[in-house]
Amino acid sequence: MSSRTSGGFSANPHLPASHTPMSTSGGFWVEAWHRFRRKPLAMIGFLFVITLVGIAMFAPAIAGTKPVICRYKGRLYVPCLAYFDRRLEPAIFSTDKFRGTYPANLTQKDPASWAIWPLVFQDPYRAVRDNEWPGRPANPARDEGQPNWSRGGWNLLGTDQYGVDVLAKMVHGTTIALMVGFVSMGLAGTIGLIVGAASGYFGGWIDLVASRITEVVMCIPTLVLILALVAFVEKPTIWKTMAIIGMTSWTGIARLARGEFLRLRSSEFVIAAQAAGVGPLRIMLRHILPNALAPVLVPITFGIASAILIESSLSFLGFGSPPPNASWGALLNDARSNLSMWWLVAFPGTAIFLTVLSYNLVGEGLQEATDPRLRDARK
Amino acid sequence: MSDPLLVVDQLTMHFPVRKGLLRRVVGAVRAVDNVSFSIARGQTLGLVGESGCGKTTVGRSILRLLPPTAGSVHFDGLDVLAQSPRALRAMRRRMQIVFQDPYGSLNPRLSVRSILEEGLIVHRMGDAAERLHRMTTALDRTGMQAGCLDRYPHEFSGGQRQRIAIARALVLEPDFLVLDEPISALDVSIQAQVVNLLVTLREDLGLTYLFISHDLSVIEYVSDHVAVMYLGRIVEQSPAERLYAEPLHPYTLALFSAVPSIDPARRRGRIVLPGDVPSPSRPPSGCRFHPRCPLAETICRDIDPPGVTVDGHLVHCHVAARELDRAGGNASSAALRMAELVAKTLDKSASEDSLASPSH
Amino acid sequence: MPLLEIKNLVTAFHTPAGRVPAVDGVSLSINRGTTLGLVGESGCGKSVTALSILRLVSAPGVIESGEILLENGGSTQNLVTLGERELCRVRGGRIGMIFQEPMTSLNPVFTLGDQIAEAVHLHEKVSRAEARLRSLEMLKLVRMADPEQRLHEYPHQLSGGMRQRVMIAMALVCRPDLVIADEPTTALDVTIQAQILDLLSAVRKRLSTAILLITHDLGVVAETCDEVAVMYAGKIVERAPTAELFSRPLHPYTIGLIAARPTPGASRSVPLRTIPGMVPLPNNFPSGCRFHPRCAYAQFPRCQTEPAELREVTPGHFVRCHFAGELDVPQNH
Repeated sequence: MSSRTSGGFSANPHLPASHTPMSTSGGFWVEAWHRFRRKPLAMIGFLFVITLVGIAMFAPAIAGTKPVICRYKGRLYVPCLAYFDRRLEPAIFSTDKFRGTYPANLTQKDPASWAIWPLVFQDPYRAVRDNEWPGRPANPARDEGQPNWSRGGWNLLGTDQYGVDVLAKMVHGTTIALMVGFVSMGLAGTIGLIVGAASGYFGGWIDLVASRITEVVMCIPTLVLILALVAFVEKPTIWKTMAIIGMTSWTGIARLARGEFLRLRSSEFVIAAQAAGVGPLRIMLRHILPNALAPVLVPITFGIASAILIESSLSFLGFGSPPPNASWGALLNDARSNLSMWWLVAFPGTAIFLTVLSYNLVGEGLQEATDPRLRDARK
Repeated sequence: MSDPLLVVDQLTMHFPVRKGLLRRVVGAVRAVDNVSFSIARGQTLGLVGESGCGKTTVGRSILRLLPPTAGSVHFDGLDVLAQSPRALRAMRRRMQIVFQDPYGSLNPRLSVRSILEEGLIVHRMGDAAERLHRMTTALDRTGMQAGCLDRYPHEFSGGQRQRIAIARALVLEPDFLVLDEPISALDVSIQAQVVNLLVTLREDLGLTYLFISHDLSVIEYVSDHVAVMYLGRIVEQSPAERLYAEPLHPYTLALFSAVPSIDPARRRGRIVLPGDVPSPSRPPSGCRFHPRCPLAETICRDIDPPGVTVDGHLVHCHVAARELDRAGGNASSAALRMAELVAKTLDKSASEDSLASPSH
Repeated sequence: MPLLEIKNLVTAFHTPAGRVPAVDGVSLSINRGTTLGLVGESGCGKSVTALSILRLVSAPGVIESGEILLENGGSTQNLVTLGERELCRVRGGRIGMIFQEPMTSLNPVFTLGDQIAEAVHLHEKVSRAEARLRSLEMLKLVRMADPEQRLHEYPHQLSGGMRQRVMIAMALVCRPDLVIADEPTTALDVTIQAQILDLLSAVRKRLSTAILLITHDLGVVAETCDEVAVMYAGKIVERAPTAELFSRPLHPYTIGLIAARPTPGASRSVPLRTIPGMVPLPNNFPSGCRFHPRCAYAQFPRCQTEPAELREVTPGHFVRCHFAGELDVPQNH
């Protein structure tokens, strides 16, 4: 401070200015989480999604015919990992000719063996055969396969026309439902953000070209576009389906990202960063993106919901990945030719409905937790 | 002016107006037109004017945050507009800016530490320990404690944020600051704190300011020189005391008289200008002020008044130029005469412009 | 009998973080045809006071106690307890309102003529032609150029100053007894502000409407008001006739506010007098005298513990300070 004398009122800026009106908090996302947590519906949706993630991660331990852990010929194995990738099945079981039937083979070929089995001994890709599990009859098929809890609860949600357990199929289908959402929206989000960021930040002819492309993609009905693309693709797999969904649903995100980048580009903190000598890439990544992320995250959440619906529709229409395909939509497709088997419609239908609803609730909660305008309106 | 740090010459900024699918240029917003001034080292130039007069654009084009259409800007002898992007970045360390809105100028997602450190990292100034030292020094100068480094902008009041914004500029140890309405968004009791802080910093660090504001009393208090802008042009420019004591341009006169004052003695002879500020995309012909000017003559409509300078007091006005000529270059008697002329038109209009009576 | 009398108004917002008393025991009165200025900084409660008068405070804000008495042909009606239907008759009928932001206060999809006429139709049974005539008359009154043509224009075709004129016309079209003007010139430029202030005082003289002018600008108050009330932290801290208040301010806050503005021709080597500290937020008003943390004279323990009462120090001059009139205050006028 200089020696300038102060008037009747103290001119010392040191003391009072550092006194703050509010307690310390942990930044935007922490605050958003606090607000989000206070919304019961959004939290229910969020917990449902978390539960689905848990089910997907532990699917082989919930339903399967391969042991979770077993001891065979003096060594420990985790055969259930084969459900994630066939190559993870220990080689010894194929050399010993198990042919996927573990319970009998284990006791026959190594009496000293033991195994921890999944909660439900059912396979998502085939019917359980007679006496495969000691003393248990084969899965019923066709109209016989309705949910039957009296026979010891072997098929809680029934079986399909080939006798495959519906519960097992649904538990393993969770992975697909989640992956469809995350992978396709991850792709859509990336494309949308890059296109939107470039056109919003740079403007000019880049904006002109990008905006027109966005509009063209937007004008074509998504399902029609996807069906056209699917027709091009040889041997559709679930990955190709996800890629196609991702490549067709980025337009909304791009438009939103463009608007946010356009708005934030001329905001004073961005100009201040420019004045400090910060380059364009760093400005986009460090200054604009974190501020644009919250508004963009909301349509991504809604997009996940619609991606799941689209995949289900594709599978239902028979354009999904070919069998063995445990997706919920494929189950619905099975029901199409067997209309009397109501359980093939009811359970996967409910699962799709609840999942889509949950994502929508999460998206809505996210919107309210991150959008300052909505936040103030509710204050 | 000796040893100017900043010389702005004929600065012009036209924003193209685009229309249609192909965005053809159909016109231009003439935000800034042929603005020239210079600021000596350690001095403050006050830039006054109403919204839309182009004062903010001037501030931003000096830092080349907006690319000017024409003209030149020399900072410490270097041509700002001719610098390569790399050289410009280095130059920007020495020229910083403080904005009006302390809520919009700090990135809400970054902590104060990240906000202050960014410039230091970009300019590779010191290692972590030295950066911390620079940051705490800058905060201390602005009356903030080092403890606020790990907080976020929303945790601070408007006045505190403005102090942080000033600290962000200071941390790079600049020579020159553009202060773009730095106190307008603050409460009255906080404004004086920030004005005092800015004046202290200028004296302690030998800073040079371009102080942009619409607040005439604050401009008078902080500035050595003052330039008055109207519709993209500087209409009058002079040392501060002279401008406030002897305003020559009718717009300056009206501006001064329009400021509401708590002092009854200053309230007499209010000049209420008719009409609105015209759009800068269609500026009036001749003198841009003529449609609202109480002294407008035929010549004002046709011919853009050239600048007349008497002892460093520049004015762009046909009437003022004539009065200066008549007074033999004596600015004070010309200023008196201008005030008289304006007052005379006021009396006339006051008798005509009684309130339209509704026939109810 | 005053036209409007506010007694002990308390308006609080019930937020998740707790009760926030934005207006905490405000009493005011406005006589017919006079202008009262309500001055204060952000968060002091001046706008909430204005909104409370018309019961326009939105949830979670609640008028918790107090009376707002509007004189009504010899008797009074209490606006706090008034039914919704009668309240609508008061809003826009007997009390008009002008907001700060003329851009957002006008509906962009209707013409100015429609909007002014709607205000007439709401309160009076008149024909369309009559309403149109009244609108035209109002636009003439607020000195709009080409009023006939303006009737058919939309808000975006007008400048900020002209929009504010339209707002004034709308507020006045039903000849209210009181107009509440909330920062009517804050968004405008100095030269346009001069026009609007000029217009407001001319209109007031002509229609003898009382005005409650809410502003943060002491200069505006000094030029337009008969009486001034200064608000700080939800309470009135000083109230006096304008000339008295500016020539002899008694509350340290008022003194500080007046002194904080640079005076013309002031020496540049003398720093401005400041009020230290920050403007308090309604969720965190200090105890005792609410100004004591920032007051240069609050060295007395009484200031920190005992809330100050509004006292009449000299006739008509009320001050909320334990030591009003006893302090050795530097005067700068």
